[in-house]
Amino acid sequence: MKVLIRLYPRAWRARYGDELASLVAAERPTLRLALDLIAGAIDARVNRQPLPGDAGSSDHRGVAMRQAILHCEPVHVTRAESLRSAAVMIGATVLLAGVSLALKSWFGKTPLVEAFMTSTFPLAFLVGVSGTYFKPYTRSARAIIIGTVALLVFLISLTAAMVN
Amino acid sequence: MRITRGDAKKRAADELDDFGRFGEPALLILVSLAGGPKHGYAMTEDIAAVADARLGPGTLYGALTRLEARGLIERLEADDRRNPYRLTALGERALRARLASIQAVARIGQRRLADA
Repeated sequence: MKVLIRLYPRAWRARYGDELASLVAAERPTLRLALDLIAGAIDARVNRQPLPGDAGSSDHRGVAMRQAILHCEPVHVTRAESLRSAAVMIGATVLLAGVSLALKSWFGKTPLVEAFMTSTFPLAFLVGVSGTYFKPYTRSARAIIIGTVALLVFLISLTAAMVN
Repeated sequence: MRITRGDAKKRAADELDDFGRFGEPALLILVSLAGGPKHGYAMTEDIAAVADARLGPGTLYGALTRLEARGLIERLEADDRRNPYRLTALGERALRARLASIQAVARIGQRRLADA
């Protein structure tokens, strides 16, 4: 059962690994225990908590500020923001798919239309996550990131469509 | 801006928000540590005795890491391979505020049931 502790991130194991191992050793090995450890490891990877000591400070607000400044880890995202992000992503996907179909029916299957169709989902994804993963950035910085990535994806898709 | 006692209380209670599925385990850990510093195993046993709920190690540490990251609990020097944890002043305030809010809800619920 202890092998499942390896699923946790290395930095997490460095701090809590021994404690968790001694706790797991005291438990009866059951499927429930295995699932609990797997779920815990997924949570530790997905929702990384600032580890005291890494940041040189145990003040979580200081750690959160450092993350926001360095953008090296996702900042805290509320449930409402996650739901809004998912709704925006779905809405943008449907809208852009509709625009793609309209463009295809008007202009036919040209490389420009094909490139637009290929870029729709990455663009919808970027717009969707702008309120979550891009949360620490200013509105103009988000616009620049989304615009630049969308343009690059479009140009790559256009090149691919023209080569085909 | 003037911060009233009510604001401070609300802020302390807010410290336990956004724990998601770890909200209840986090509250149980704080209650357990209110009785004195404990390591993981002792917390699990204490919570099982107090709340009749056995927290899995993954759940316990999911809640514990969040509490430590928010400064509500702190780790003490290792005792063997096990590190005890204790409640911080902020953790104590957050626990008091949360228990007061639970108590208020329970009081209203009981009063309504009595009137029904």
